[in-house]
Amino acid sequence: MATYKELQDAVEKVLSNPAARSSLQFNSATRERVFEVYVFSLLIRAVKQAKGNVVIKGINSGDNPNPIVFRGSPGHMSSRSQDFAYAECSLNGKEFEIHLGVQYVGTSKALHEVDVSIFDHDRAEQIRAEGILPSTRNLRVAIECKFYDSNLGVTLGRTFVGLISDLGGLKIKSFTSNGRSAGLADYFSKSDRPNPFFALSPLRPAVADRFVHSIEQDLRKWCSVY
Amino acid sequence: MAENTQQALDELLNRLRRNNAQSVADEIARVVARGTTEEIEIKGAAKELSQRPLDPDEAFRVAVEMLVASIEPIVMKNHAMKVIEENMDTVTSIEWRQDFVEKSPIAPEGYEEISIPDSEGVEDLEKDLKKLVKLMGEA
Repeated sequence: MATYKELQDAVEKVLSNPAARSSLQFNSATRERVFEVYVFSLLIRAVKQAKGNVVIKGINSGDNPNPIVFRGSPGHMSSRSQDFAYAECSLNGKEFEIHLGVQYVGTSKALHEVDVSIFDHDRAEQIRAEGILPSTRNLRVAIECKFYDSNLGVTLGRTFVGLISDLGGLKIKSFTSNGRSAGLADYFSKSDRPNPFFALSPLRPAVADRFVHSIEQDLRKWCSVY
Repeated sequence: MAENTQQALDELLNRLRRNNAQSVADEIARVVARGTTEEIEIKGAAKELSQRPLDPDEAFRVAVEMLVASIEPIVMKNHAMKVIEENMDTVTSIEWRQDFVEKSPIAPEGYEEISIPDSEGVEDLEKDLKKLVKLMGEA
């Protein structure tokens, strides 16, 4: 049983670290973007754990872009306005890409942003060459990333379920947050709904490992890894 | 936890305000002031939801949870950098930039770009945050 004094001392220690002081200055948009990149990195871990290959690419500079640039707001897969980065992956002969903040044309023709997505590599090459918008036909994975909110409401779940219903036949659909919500957990408990991952954070390695293993297993199944 | 949690909560908010983290302190104050809801049984009727204030222990727990959430992005970025670095030659930084279409009537200059400078002590901070999260689980 932790005592009040232990908790207060632990808080004090955290607040006295200069890195904590700089993090406290981030605005909500920055926190959301960082969480998305963290989830992106967990997908890379999942591909590597499945013995796949990963190369980080910049749309203009190619392999090993430096700095690594991600979209500050939803954008187009083919946009070359910045050297937007993505991860090119191969696993058991299947080639695919992990993207952040890309917009896809849904089956209803509406445009949807997917926080973290996996898309077929061949089709992505065509999309980039022709400068067109990707449809959901070759979209395999859609992951919603929601940064901690003291009031993570069921509405977020309904919105994501509505979104993925317009994204075609996804292999993986997950809702991730570093926060928790009993209401959302209930909402996602129905069998046909996306897998929820709450409290996803490097501060809770067991949760992060569970997420990576889950994605790894789904990727192994999709790519027929035996 | 002990009866001194009200004092700890006040000290935490003051400390955040002194550290120029006014917005985090204000958000904690807003959430705590909003209270919580709980089911109450009304005689002869079905259960209804009712609003009630948080007690000091609950309020302190909410405040610490929000504090951790506000600080952990720098640890998340550190972890992401490590994974990305394993797949590259060198990485100096991660940045977020705005997308735009060439020849737009409004040029992208001035659009917000996000970059997070490297901070010393992130590894220590991660250890301290993990300890805090563990203590919260035990409190």
